[in-house]
Amino acid sequence: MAPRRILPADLPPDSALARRLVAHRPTARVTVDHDGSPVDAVAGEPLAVALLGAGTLTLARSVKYHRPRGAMCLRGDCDGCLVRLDGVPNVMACQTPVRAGMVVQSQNAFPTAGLDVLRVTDWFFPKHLDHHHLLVQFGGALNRTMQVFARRMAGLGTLPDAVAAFPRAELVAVDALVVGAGSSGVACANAIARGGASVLLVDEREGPGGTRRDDPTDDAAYPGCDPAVTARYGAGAVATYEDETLLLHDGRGVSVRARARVFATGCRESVGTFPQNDVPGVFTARACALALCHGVLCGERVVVVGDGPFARALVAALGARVTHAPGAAVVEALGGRAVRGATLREGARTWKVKCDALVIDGEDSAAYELAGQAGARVLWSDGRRCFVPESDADGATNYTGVYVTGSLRWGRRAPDARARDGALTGARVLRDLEGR
Amino acid sequence: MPRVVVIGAGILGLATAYNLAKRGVKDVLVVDRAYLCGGASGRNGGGVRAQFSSETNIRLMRESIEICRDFATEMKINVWFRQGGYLFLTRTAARARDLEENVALQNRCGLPTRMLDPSELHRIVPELSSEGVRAASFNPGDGVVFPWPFIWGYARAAKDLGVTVRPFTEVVGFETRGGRVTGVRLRPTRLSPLDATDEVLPAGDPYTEACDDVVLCAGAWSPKIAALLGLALPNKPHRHEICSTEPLKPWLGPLVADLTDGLYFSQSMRGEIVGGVAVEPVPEGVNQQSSRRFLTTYARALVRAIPTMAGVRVLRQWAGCYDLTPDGSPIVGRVAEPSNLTLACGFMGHGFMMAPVMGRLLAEHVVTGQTSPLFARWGLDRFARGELEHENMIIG
Amino acid sequence: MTAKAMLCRCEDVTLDEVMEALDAGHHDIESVKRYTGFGTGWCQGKQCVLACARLLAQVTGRAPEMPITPRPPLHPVPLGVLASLGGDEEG
Repeated sequence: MAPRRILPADLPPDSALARRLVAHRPTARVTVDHDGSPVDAVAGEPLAVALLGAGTLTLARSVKYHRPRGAMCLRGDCDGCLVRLDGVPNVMACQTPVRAGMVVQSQNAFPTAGLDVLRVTDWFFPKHLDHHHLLVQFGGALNRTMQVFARRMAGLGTLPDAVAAFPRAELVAVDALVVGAGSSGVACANAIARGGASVLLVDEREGPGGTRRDDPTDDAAYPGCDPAVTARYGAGAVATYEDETLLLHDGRGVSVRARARVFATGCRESVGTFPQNDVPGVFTARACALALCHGVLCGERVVVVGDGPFARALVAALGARVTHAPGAAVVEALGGRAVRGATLREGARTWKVKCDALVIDGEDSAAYELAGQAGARVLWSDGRRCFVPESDADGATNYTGVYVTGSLRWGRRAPDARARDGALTGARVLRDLEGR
Repeated sequence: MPRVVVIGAGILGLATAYNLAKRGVKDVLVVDRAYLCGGASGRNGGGVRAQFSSETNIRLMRESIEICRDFATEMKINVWFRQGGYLFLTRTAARARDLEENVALQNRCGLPTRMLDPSELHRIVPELSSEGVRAASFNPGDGVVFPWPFIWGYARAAKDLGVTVRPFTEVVGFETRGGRVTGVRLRPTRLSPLDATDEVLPAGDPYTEACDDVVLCAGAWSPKIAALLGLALPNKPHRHEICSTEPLKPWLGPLVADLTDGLYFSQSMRGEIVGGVAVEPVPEGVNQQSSRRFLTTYARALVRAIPTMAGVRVLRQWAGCYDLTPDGSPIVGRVAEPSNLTLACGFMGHGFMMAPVMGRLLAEHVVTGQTSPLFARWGLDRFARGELEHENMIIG
Repeated sequence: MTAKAMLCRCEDVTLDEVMEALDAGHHDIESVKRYTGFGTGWCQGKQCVLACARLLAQVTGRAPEMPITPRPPLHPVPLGVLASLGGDEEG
């Protein structure tokens, strides 16, 4: 029982997912080395998805208790899929496209990620390890010995094997930078470009579409970019400052100076806080959907909890292959090394289910960090139960030249509503650029 | 019993309050504009060293290091003090001479500091590129701590002795009579949603707390607060940025500091490489915003020193404020007027490491009213007299 | 069986540990972050800041007004990339 690859032939031929898998039929099958074993993969797919497709759930051990770690969000938002790749520690496998001949090593595991004797720390401290007060009641010598041991246990990975070389960074100046090429970001960039201002649209993904890329029931074409928009894909914004935005484009640094910056960074997904929420096999619904779009099913017995758009898309794409509990909440996940079930609750009813993939579509939250670093005021929203950059009707924030648009502003909405919001913000950006 | 208001709940304010209470002065109120660890005490790199260029600093820091070593067992909280040594290096001939003179002085003061030859340098940090290095000194007794638990430890111990610690409270004025401060005007605050620089906003009405003594330990904010009393201090805030990398298994023993470019870095107990570098110019006043320019300057300096670090990633960066004086020495002790005001500021970016011993000395000074020779030399009036106290081992 | 509920999985900070920090008097989100270390690991809070804010709202009856200061970078960036930026005047 493990995640595995599925084939278009496994699916109803008229389904959107089958059409997607046919349309994206792998062109190049390659092999990567994972801890000495060959893994079949598809060139260009996320490494974490390839490892899942090969049935590998556990990739590392956690920093303190050596609990098993595996992919959870597949969006670069968690620590689940960190590996040592070609001699470089802590590489996010979900953000790394597969290339032939990659050498992947598990981290922080003794002797292996599957079986790690240091897991005893987890059992020794059943609630948590109170590092502030550990052994302070004893004399200095014992306390100092503990500290020597603690230092040895700390850290993930070791120094890189070699001195890495990086190409000289690029410097770019534009009127407007739009971060995020989902429905709102593309519409916003188009509106700005059509008004005659220069626009750079960037996204860490390999193309436009944002959330829609990960929806297995959505095989319609994405609205295209206006020819006047300069789009860069595989180019994630990694830091923002008062007057500058830093991108990583295929491993190269790009420093962007823009008079206006629009953040269309959408939402993050999380599974929520419940006992055993970190066990491999617990996924966000988006992660499961994303893997499915690459032809990888994240388990044999999949339980989908929640009624968000990704949960519904998974149920629509997989039908009877999954068990859906739309109104339930997870009480706890069951299983030590990998998930083997869950206790669910709905109203007064509590029940247990067996599964090898527990997929949760919980409340999403605004991806506010970049807008916040740029200077936008970020406040708690009682309605959305998350932090959201404050913005006026058009998406302008309190900080001059910084805008937010789309799901970041409103939470998940239909793609056309997001596009309308993007166009609205784009028109405002144009007015402000002309006015200044 | 006298009532003491301590302004600033950083390590120095809390250590002073704790030592006051230990000496029987328990009616102590410590106020701070933000949360505990919100100022420089929560933002520094945690270095603790005795390698200084003046006998005063060397002797004080030897005592501070002793306190750090016993802190966990005495204050019942781990501070992760690790004596991996401080390795100073320089790439200029002038600074090489400074280092040699300093080492000779440190040896006279009983420190085992020594100049390193290239092979020893390589043995201590094999990853270090020795290109252009003119000289290096090493004291194995220096080390690093995790700063935050010092704050919690002192706050807890002070509270247990009867001290009141009141965060989210800023000083907005003073009441004075007959050349003395009789009350401190305070106002509740909250963190400001206006920006990410940890500004505070008023959250309540001002009120007065009566006092017999005031100790000003507000670091970079000290000149602004002293100005409320009409007192002009010569120290100035100076932004200093730091960053932290992904955590790696332990590989770096000492804190390495390059006197040529102000680079320093060490490996924390969690495995992160934590460090900073001198970047000029900095914005005027108290400013705790991060800059990309710092990251580039730091990255270039660090990769030059440790080439394999090129592939290691920065996890986060932040900024705090050094509190700089014209001669590099702090400003401590009572002032002429108001006569019940004691200053403790201008610690040049090493206030954290000095606080454990300075807290003791300040409490003694407040309780006894005696001015020791040290406090006489470090008094505010030295600037008027023109008798400056130079220190050249300042990092960053 | 060690049924830990991970509030911050990067730093192995459990729900229980955060509750203990609240009991110890750390009530604002910046203080809870520092005392427990949540949000200081690989993801820098992308997963756990929200979990902590929701917990604070539930336990204290009031959500924090603001998140912990979002510090750059968003994703970890190699020092080699940072060194390659900027003009020579920055060296």
